[in-house]
Amino acid sequence: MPISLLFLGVLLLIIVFKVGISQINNQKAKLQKAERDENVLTQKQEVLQSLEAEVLGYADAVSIAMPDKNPSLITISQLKQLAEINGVVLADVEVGSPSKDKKGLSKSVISFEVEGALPQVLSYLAGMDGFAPLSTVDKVGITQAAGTIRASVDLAVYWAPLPTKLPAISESVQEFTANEAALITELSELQQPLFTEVEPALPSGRIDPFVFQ
Amino acid sequence: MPAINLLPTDLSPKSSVARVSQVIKNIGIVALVVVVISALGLIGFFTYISFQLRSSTSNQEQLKANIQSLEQTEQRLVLTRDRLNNAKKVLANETAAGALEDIASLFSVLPAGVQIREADISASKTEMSLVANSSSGLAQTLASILATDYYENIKLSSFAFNSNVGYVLTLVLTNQI
Repeated sequence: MPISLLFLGVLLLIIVFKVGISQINNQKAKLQKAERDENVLTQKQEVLQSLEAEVLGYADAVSIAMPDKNPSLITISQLKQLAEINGVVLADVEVGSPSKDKKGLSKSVISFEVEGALPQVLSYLAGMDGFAPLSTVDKVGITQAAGTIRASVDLAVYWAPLPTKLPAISESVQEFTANEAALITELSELQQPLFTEVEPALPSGRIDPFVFQ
Repeated sequence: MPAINLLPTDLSPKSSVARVSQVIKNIGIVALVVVVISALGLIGFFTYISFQLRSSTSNQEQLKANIQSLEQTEQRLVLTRDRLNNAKKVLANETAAGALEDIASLFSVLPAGVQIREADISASKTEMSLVANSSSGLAQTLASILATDYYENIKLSSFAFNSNVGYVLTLVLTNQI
């Protein structure tokens, strides 16, 4: 009788500890995961709330600098505006067919000529670096004839499709790094294109052609 | 009342056996008590963890709802980051802007009597042809060209003198060693 009592006690002790501890370990693992997820979500909510006010401005500035569609027309408009500012003549504007570069960006080359006095043409060429959308100068040819400088320029413009997916809700988000913030500032400081909004015409009364006036 | 034992004394267990039996019985009881206490402790701890888990799950649901309401902000954040990554790629592309800046500052300080005939400017190479009507103007221009820091190599590819226009020279500037 005492031996069977001892045997039962030890057996129950083993069962209780084995089953109980494994259950507790499972539950603890679930709790740790839940706490990790909760921390990620808390951090995500804090980051999103802290960026809520300014991210709209950022998104607009960087979307103009790096558009999702061919920005050739906007760039030509910027080139014309720059020509007006510098007092040079812009001519022979041609837009090349789009292609993809090595980094997966779509690219189109705008070729054009500018004509004017040397300081104005130089100022114009230097100014091409300072407007949105982003562009790179492939090559410039300068010739001088009768005191007039003529520069033929190949300017590449770029675009890339917009992202189509949001990350999973449980995925963490990070605030902008110092480099990203500096780049946002740099892109925001580029000369923005002027978009004019055409106001709709007010409806006018129909004229009766049979009324003698 | 005194205890009466009717069993013959030969049948009663030896005292050492009875002691061992008592010890085993006590250990058994202690083990059972330990089982009960442990079971209660484990159940209590399990309940505590379950409560915390439920509380964390409910917090997560609340946070998810809050994040859903900030979806537009998240969309703009994702868009901004994507555009920035693409902008970085563009800015890493070769451009003649640096060369242009250097050449522009060189051209803007050309001495009187020195003119550009033509120049072909790209990111890695610039070829230019200049005309100078005096040797002093030519020397000054060459000194300015040597002072530019964009190009690493400057090659004089042709040099001629014409009594009508003066010195005509062609320079090739490259930034490859």
